[in-house]
Amino acid sequence: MESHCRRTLILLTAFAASFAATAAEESPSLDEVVVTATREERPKSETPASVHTLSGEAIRQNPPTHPSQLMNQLPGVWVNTTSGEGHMTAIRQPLTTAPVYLYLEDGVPTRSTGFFNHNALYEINVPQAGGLELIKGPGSVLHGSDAIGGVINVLTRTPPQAPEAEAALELGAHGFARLLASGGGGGWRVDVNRTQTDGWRDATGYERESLTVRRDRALDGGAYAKTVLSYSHIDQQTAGSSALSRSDYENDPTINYTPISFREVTALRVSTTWERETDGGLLSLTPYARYNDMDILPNWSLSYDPGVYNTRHYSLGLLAKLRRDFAPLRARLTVGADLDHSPGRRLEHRITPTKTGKIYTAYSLGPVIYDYDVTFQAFSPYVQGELSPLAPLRLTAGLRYDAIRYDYDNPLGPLDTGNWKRPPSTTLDYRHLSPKLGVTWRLTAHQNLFAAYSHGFRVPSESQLFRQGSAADTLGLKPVKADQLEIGWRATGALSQRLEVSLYHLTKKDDILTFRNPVTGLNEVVNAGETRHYGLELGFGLPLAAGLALEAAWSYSRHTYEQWVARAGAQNVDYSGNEMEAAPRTLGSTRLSYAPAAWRGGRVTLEWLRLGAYWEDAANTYRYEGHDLLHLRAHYPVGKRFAVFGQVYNLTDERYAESASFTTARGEELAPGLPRTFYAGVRYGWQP
Amino acid sequence: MMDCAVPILVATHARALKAIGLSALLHAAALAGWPPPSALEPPRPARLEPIEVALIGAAAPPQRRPRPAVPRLDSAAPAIASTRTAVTSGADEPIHPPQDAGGESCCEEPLVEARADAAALNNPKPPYPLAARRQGIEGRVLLDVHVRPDGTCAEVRIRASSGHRLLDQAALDAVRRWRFLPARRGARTVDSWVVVPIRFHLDG
Repeated sequence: MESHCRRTLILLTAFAASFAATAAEESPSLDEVVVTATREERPKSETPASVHTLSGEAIRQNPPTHPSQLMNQLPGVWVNTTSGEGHMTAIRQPLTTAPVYLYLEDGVPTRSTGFFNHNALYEINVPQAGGLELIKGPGSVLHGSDAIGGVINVLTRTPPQAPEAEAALELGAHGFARLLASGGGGGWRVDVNRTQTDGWRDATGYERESLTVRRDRALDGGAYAKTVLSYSHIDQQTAGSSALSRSDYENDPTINYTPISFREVTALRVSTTWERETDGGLLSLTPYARYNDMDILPNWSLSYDPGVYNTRHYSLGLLAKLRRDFAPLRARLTVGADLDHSPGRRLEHRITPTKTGKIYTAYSLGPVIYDYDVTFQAFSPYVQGELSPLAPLRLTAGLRYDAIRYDYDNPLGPLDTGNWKRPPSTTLDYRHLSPKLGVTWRLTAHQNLFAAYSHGFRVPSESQLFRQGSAADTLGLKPVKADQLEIGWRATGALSQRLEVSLYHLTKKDDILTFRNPVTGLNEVVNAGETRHYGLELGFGLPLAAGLALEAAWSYSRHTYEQWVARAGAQNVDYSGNEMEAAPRTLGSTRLSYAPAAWRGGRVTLEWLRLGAYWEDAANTYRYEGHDLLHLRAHYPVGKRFAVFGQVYNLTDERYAESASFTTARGEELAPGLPRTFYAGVRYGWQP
Repeated sequence: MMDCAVPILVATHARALKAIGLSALLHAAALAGWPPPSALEPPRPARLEPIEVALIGAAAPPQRRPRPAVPRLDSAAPAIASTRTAVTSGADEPIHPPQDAGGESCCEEPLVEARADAAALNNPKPPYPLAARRQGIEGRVLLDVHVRPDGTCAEVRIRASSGHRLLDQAALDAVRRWRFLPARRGARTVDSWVVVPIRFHLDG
């Protein structure tokens, strides 16, 4: 007993001694110095534009099986599905294939302006992105041609410092299988995406391989360098929406009239951003190289202009920017220039398709109808000034000048008759000034207002100019110009409440929207149009109870032809005053999510997606009734390293159209959307 | 998957290909590590910052020496710390660290601790390193600072790393240039050790 007490005493003494030693080694401390910086170059509260972001974590928890599943969560956005991961986009514009959106990866355009493709998001590894930013409208001076409806910037994922790796395997109906693997350390990251599906309709298989490599480095003298390599290869059956008659849409939606259609795409980009801070300034240089290649047999033109073609372009470019801050009035001056040199080529064969019943079953290769080289060049200097005459006030003014040249060489020689006319070799120049003005006003620390005027434009793309088709003249096409006025209100609350409201009015002049002629079914290019687009967009996030949150993105907009006289057969039809086709007034995404703390990051989300009714034709005679879809998504961690996730797309198995149109030549055509589909996956994460 | 003949372009863009190739090579070089980086590696404990031994004689790292129990005399000061002190008659004389835990005798005058009131002394905060901002690197650094009687830093050491060399280095570089109000014992200024915590935080 005594020895037991002694041992206890010794232990207590030792414990007390160790405690005393610990206390003696503790040094008192000065008050903590907090060094705060913003992740963004410019706080959202001082950005006079509608800006929305999606976090990389949210993207990766339930990786989208199509980019539309992310984009449609943003106010005023409708991205549809054509086939595979192809899409058309409607942001402050009707659903369109026209070059009115600028797609970036880490700020670098994913394609040259002259070679726009509306399916831009499938060339980017969206499911493994580190985030996504959307600027609606014509953007800032940093954004040139094509930025009219919006700028979509997909961010690559930041490399880790400590080693880490993860892999997610996902399976779904219709033969869907996807592996997303990512890992790195020491400033490196490698992402791999392998996706395949048989498609839910006949002959709509899709395969994709993507690789993203990023390396971040701190260089001597405080400089920073980031190198990104992105590669995507896409191989898909059926390129396009593969629309059906209303009867088949309702009764036999898996049928595909165009199984001979295909698309194969290769996109490779490599860029290095070098940045260095000077006293009150930042110098940023991003040289890049790009390669885009597409083989395609488009399905939408099989009935009136069947062909198979290859387009490709290489690019060398540079984004250069110098920013300087001045203490008086918190002034900031940014000057910069973008350069793009992109030689490209188009080779197109006419084909003779064989039709069995209503299905195109085979084709034979015909003569070459286009084979030309075209080099796109752009030099775009810009300047932007910001200052705050009053503490809550931030004024922004900018001016961008774009000098753009197409150098077109047509070795086949000109042809001025028939349906495949060819313009003679030529050089075309476009010069354009884009002014931007903006103001933000900080109401409180968590609320601000903004107002902005911005001018945007787009030059005709190479195919509109040099793949002349049956049009009498395409070389005279002018840039489309857009002027937007916008006001907005943004607020955040202490409990993660979020409110974003914006009201915009956008006018487009010299519009060259691709127009499907209702009589002939032919696509015509018209340059003398004026259209008007205005709307109210609303986004909010509201915590309801412990773990329960409501988020919503809604918009109401009108898109009208102001002056639009288009040829219809032997006569012109005046559509002025009509609503534009494929332009729903109402778009909405409402998401209810439940993520109690006990689930340790687990979350289940129910999304209600509303697409309002819209006209299927410019004459406003046929109307698509709109639709409501419900999607269920869930993510749940299992242990420290595993997580399971899944999605039920179209929970109620609604029959809906991804696109709907009417022409007198072909009648009403609807592209059926994905029926109820289950996906489930497991993710494994490793860290030492 | 494809069952159709795909027309193949015969590439004639020799110049473009060369340019692209050259560019790709340059980017590959950048990716592979040219120019030589100041790598974003986790800090290596063995690579401590240079120790200005001459100024503090045989001073051991402060953690290893017991600290006298010194009461806080000016609790209202915005940033006050006390550490071991070594009595000195002036800034020009060599500084001698305390020899034992009982360096402060019962008869000495009360200690007024060193201060680093950033506003009063115009001590700039460290800049947030660009590369750390770009990579979303955050962290907290604890620095041990040996303050001379003239208020300058004799030595700055990392007591607890942020885990990121960039942040540690930015904190060291900034605090080395700081001026402190030196610890005083009566009318005399004395040298002392203080701990400076610096937290790097990204908003948004």
